[in-house]
Amino acid sequence: MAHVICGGGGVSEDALYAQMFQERKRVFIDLLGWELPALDGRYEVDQFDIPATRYIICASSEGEHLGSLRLLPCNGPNLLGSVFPFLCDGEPPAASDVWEISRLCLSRSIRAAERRSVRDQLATAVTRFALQQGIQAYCCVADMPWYSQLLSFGWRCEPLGLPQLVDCGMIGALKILITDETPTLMEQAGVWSRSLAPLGELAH
Amino acid sequence: MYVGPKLAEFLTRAVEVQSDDDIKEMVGEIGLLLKLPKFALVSHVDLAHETDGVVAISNYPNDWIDRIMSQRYYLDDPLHAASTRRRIGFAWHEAADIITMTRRQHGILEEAAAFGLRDGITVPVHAAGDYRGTCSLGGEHPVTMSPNIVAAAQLVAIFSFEAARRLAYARLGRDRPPVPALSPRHVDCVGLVATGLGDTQIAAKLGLSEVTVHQHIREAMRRYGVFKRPALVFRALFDGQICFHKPY
Repeated sequence: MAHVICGGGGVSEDALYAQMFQERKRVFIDLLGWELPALDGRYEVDQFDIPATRYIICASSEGEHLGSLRLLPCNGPNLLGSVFPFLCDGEPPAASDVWEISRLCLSRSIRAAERRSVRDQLATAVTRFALQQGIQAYCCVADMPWYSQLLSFGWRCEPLGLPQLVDCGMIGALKILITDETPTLMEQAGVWSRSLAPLGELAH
Repeated sequence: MYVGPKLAEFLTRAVEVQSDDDIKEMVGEIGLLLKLPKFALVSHVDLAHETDGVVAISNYPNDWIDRIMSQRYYLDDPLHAASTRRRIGFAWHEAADIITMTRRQHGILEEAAAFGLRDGITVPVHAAGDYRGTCSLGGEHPVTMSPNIVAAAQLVAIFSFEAARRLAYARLGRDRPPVPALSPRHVDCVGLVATGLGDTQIAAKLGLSEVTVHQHIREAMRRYGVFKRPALVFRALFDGQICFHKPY
């Protein structure tokens, strides 16, 4: 089930999904060179893209995918628990109120000025999703530049273990704590997208 | 491997700091534990000029800082140069393997050693659309790049640099300026200006008239509020509107 933000212009969910998986292929396989299979040579889909998976997709009013990310509940299969558990000091998070963020992807065709805005909208939407669903924290596996970016959103991050050097570089597992204070911190960091959610709007 | 209690405490403090002095105290303390008591958090800009949102916090000896500023060593600091080639921290004794160092650069490292900065770790810190920077942690003793030390230095760098940036931007008292919107055609033209082509060549490459190319570039300059092409290229690169790829 996709949470579509910014309209989508009446384009069907299936069409947006298809664009998302195509864009994931362009970003993760073509651009970043990750060793992932491409379905039909066009789509990047893996064993974690299942019915329980949620997605947040930012689309233009013409129905074009601008950016997206994937959310997996930690009480089910997820990257950190299944593929990267060694990045955690203790057991990887497995509670129903902790979810994992992965495959954050911005369309390669959008320009720099818009990239920042789409990224901020995704960060805002994922925070709103957490506050509305009672999610206490997100976790994710990050390389070092992404780790810095997550901190720059104003999110309170806690490492789940020391970062480690693997084939593709240094990666670390971290937890992002979401509280009532988070929107204000993101506002201070210049990341909260007011067009998506005025600060006073959130009530659960 | 573990995120020890002292490191965990450091990471909690990092989000609570309210001043550069807090940062100095906090990083100094964790540095002592890592046997790297001297640190510098620095944005890669010409520090002699006032610039918004710049990070420059250090507990290096004042005499050494004076020397760095007066001699402008930060402009060709070998550790800064090496940091542009790495995504993660490296030891100072590895710098000569990462870049070909000039005599001046060797001299800078030797001078630093005389001020008690004999070896250390420098961690590049990247943030999209922001100044590149580094966090250096050093001291008197040779550094052993064990996985724990490398990882701990990485976390110290990321969290302390973000704390410093947060304070630097808070001091500005306003939102970070938005990136000026350039149309795809503007970006095409600016990108080709960056490669050194003149309007005639750009026009031929893009299938436009020279007049159009000239107008696009002028409009891009107007949106950025600059009056010279090198300034336009510089700003567009900084914002990531055009980018370069490593040649290797």
